[in-house]
Amino acid sequence: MNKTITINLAGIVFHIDEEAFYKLQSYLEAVKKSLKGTQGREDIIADIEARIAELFSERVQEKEVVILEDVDYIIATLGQPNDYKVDDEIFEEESSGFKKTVTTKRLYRDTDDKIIGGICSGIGHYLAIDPLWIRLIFIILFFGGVPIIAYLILWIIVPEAASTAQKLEMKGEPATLNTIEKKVKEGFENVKKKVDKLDLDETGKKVREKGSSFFGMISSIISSIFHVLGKLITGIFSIVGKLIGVILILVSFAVIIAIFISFITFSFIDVNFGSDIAPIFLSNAVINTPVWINSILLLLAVGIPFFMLLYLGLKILVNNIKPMPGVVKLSLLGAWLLSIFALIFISIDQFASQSIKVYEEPTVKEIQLQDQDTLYVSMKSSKHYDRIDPIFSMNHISGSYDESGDQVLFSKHIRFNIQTSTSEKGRIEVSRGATGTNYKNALDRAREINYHFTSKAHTLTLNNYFTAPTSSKLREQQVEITIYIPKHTVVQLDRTTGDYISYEIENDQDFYRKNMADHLWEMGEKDLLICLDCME
Amino acid sequence: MNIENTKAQMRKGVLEFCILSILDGQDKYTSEILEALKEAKLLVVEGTIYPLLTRLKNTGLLDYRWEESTSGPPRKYYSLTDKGREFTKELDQTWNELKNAVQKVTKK
Repeated sequence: MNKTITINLAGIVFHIDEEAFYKLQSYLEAVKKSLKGTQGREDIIADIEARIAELFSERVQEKEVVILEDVDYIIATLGQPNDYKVDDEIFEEESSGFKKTVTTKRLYRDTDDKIIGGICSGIGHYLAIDPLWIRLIFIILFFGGVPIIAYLILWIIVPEAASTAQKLEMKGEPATLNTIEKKVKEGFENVKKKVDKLDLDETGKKVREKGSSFFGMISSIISSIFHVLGKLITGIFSIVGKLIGVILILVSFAVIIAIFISFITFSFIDVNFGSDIAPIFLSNAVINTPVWINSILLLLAVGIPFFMLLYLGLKILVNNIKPMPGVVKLSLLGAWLLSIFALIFISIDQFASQSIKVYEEPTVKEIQLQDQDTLYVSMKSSKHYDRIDPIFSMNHISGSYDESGDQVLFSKHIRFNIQTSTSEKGRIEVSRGATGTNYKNALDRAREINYHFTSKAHTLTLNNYFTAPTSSKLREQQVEITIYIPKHTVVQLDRTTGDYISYEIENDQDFYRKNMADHLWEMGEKDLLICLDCME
Repeated sequence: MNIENTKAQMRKGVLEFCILSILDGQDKYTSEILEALKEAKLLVVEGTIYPLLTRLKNTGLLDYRWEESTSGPPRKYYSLTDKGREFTKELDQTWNELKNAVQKVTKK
């Protein structure tokens, strides 16, 4: 049982089988399309419809319904859409001879032979290869992830071959390397021929014609030179244009793939497996917003312009790219602007998070010193942090793991200063500092710093590192240590302290800070340390 | 070069002249013109003819009128205009010259 549709062709009513109707419809559409630009197209179509009506009424006398066979007969009698095209050169006066109408093949999605979207079979038609090979390549590359994106992009921008004409165009002259080469050569030859012809014939003729006046001759020569130049330039431009198209496609595609892959890996790994990869860890440790948000924003901010470039390149190169719907264009523009604004906002937020540096009220501890006691200062290093390789290091702060394997920020940027105590007792002051958006924020962050030292009898042991949780981010965390000793007290700086002596300590030997280690010093006037065991 | 293309082009080249000649002397409707051309094997598919007819009409060589038909849609009867008749005469002359010339060249 078949459904029939009633149609009106040139004023006559026909009952037509549904299947036959669709075929007839797409045929007429294809014919209309192939007549695009022909004068009096409406009249021609009306004539064709009248003829179809005539043929139908001849054939449909008894059975009453037009079936597929009748439509096939119509197409066989009237010819394929391309047969309607009149080669204008044959009829037009003064045909230039090389204005060849090469029926170009176009890239369509072949939805008749599709597995997903008909891209592979479409490309197969375009290159005149069995689509099986294209599919195979896609599947092999599939594991690289690249073809998925390529496929999606192509799916969006390559139109489906819906009408007969489109299907014909899809399967037309194969665009193999040979034909491409041929076309390029034709392009060159066109230019050359035009140049030759114009040079020899036209210029000569014009010069002869206008030769009566000297200025006429000059002007004709100049005008033909410009004419030739114009043709040359247009010829060159069309070739250069294609080249630019190729470059645009390659570059933008590579960039899109790169961004996409890094986006996928970064946000996926970050969300699912934590972030042991340096850039993720670093980004997490520096930027307030989570990595996946940043990568989405970056993907949009960089990806959208490159997608537009890719689209442009494809448009230059392949003459059958769907025009992008206005909605898509607008939403892409919107998404791009949004991502740019968001990134600007994040940057400002980032900048603001360094706006104030705050040191907490120092922790003060007395140093038990008897008269004539020598204060012994040494550094204690951590076996763990000495051994472990930092994942990243920035502004003296590194990202790594603590003893239990959790992410942590640590720094060996410890400096201690030695000054004269105003009282008779010695003391040590330790102050932690960090930056933040405001005072409280910075202070809270400073207090998250983990730093230890021990002061036993006349021995001061300072950790040579501090740690901070990753959640407090890289915010110029710092530990400031000042040791206050009464005048004439002797300090033994252990060999291990070399790297941690502050620049601010003054000594009578004018030693660079590191060289002060492994010596005995006595506190003199105005915080000046006097060496007791240095060779004169 | 494709032999079919060359053949088609040769045919197309004289098609205009043939249509005008068919209409010379008596008015005919589209199907009759097609019939005549097909009989002479000048036409493989009909599609070519419609743009040609329209073009000839638009350049003022042909004119048409509608006539009711008993067995189908109304028929479009084409007729030569005065300009068309003159045009045909001239083409006729050119064709004869061309025919002779081609014969001379091809027969040696």
